[in-house]
Amino acid sequence: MKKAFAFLGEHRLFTFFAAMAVLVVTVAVLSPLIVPYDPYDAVTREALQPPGAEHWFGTDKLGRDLFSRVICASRTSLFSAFLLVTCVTVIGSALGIIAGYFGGAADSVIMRVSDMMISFPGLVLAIAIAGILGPSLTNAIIAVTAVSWTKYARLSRSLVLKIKSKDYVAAGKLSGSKTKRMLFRYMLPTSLPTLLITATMDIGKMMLELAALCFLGFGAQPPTPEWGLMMNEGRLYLQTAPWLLIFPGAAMFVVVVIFNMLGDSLRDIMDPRHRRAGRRRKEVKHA
Amino acid sequence: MTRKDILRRLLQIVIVLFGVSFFTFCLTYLAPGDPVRAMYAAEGGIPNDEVIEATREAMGLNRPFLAQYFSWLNNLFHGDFGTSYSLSKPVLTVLLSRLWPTMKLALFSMALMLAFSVPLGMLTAVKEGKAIDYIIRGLTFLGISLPSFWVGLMLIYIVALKLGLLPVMSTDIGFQKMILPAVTLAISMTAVYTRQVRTAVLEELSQDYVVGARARGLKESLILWKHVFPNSLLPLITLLGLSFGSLLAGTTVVEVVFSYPGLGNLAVQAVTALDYPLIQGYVLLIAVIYMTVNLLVDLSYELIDPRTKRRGES
Repeated sequence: MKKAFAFLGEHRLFTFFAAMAVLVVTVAVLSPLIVPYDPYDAVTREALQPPGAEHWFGTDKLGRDLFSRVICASRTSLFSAFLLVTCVTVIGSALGIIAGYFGGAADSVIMRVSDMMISFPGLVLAIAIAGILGPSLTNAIIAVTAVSWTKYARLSRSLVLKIKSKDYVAAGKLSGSKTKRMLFRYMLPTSLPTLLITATMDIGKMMLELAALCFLGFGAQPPTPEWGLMMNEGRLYLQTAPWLLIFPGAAMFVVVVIFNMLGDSLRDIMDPRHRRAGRRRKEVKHA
Repeated sequence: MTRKDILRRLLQIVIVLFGVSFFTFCLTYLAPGDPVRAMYAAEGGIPNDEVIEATREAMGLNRPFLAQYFSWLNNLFHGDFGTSYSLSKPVLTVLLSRLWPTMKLALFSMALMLAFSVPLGMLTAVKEGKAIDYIIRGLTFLGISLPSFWVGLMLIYIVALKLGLLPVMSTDIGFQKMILPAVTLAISMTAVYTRQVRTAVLEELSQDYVVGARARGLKESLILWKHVFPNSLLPLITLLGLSFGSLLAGTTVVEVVFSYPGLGNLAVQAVTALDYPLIQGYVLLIAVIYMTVNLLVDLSYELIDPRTKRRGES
């Protein structure tokens, strides 16, 4: 416990953003309990009211309370982004580790497919996949997973290749360890830290990509509260009810900043090369 | 790059294109939606099953999968991308008519991006650790966290509606109509690129020849522009090529926000209308452009950095 506090005290930036992230997740989890109004409750009488004491962020075209909807949308957006990052990381790393460890045909097939994906802007394919499968949040997640796993496959493959030639791996094999044990005891744990850092750094980006699909109408469907979708619905009221766009966008921006900063500060801690390189450069400069 | 390398790259491009075409074709074939029903629904009527079946037969949708794929591929080689279901026009004509507006938008926003990110990146690298470095880097951090569609909508609201500086809607694709979409695209790209310029310049600044030049008493500005900047160009050009690719995809969202008549807007309409030939054509076209740009970038290395040539020959 003491150690943990010492760690947090040493890395203040990380601590701050980790606390913010925990706060955001807590709000997202508890959102149905803490919002003042039901986010689905339409009161047409009170449609398109500007922000005020009764409705902090105003109301939308159906008279639903925007504040409640923005808060509840954090749940949709966060959980779908987490699910997406998990899918991408698990699928990508599994394929990468298999490709790196076994080599041969498995390696060629996986890496050629990944080459194909990389020589291509992902979002284009994601839009095509999401649209063709039919618009829903699940399909949007499938679509983005289908185009994003390659990064993790390449990363984990290179990590596995690096340790595969180490003596202890050869010793493990020689002493008769089964393939399953080799993969889970050696390959996975050594590549896990790097993969997790990358995954944390990707949360914000994934959130933006999912929201973009939702904004285009290929993700969450009404009446689900989701930031991208809410901005799509509010577009027509840009002139008369700008709060329909300002608040969901601002909420999303803040959350993405928090997760981006969290990923960045985590990388600085786990991968001190970044900072050391900076220091060395300064020494050269002063010399 | 030798002639052999170029040929190998071209072969690779062809293979990838085959893969992409097969993949998109599979996808449209397996898709749950029915394009015939979607087509009639778009025209406003729901005909009976017999008419639908007859239309399916006429469109060749009842043939086996591979037969459909190869006849489509065969037509592609003859320059025939098929006919768009929803627009009843040849796919290639539709795509090409939308290509230039998107290219224009992409190039303009890239020019904007370069105009800001190169000076800012150099500034942050030179002033490393100073206040201005932290401020600009902080701003770039905010920049990459901004949802582009939100930026676009806010720009419309502030610049066009509140300040009345630019028209909200205009039918042509003239310069005025391009400003806001280009600025929207440039904001997030500038944020990313500024950091990359900074990293590249810092990398060069730590090289021995810089110390040597300083020791010889050369002016700092001379070292920076004459020596450091040209040397840091190489990684930057690669990234520029890649960002042009992501720009092609990135314009989609922004084009929709601004109802800009480009490829991205067309693609979204095509996907919504389940217009399979148009979707396939669009995906292929983007793949061709993206890979051509990357090939050109790789070829340009030799011109910019003769070192790569020597390494290739040895």
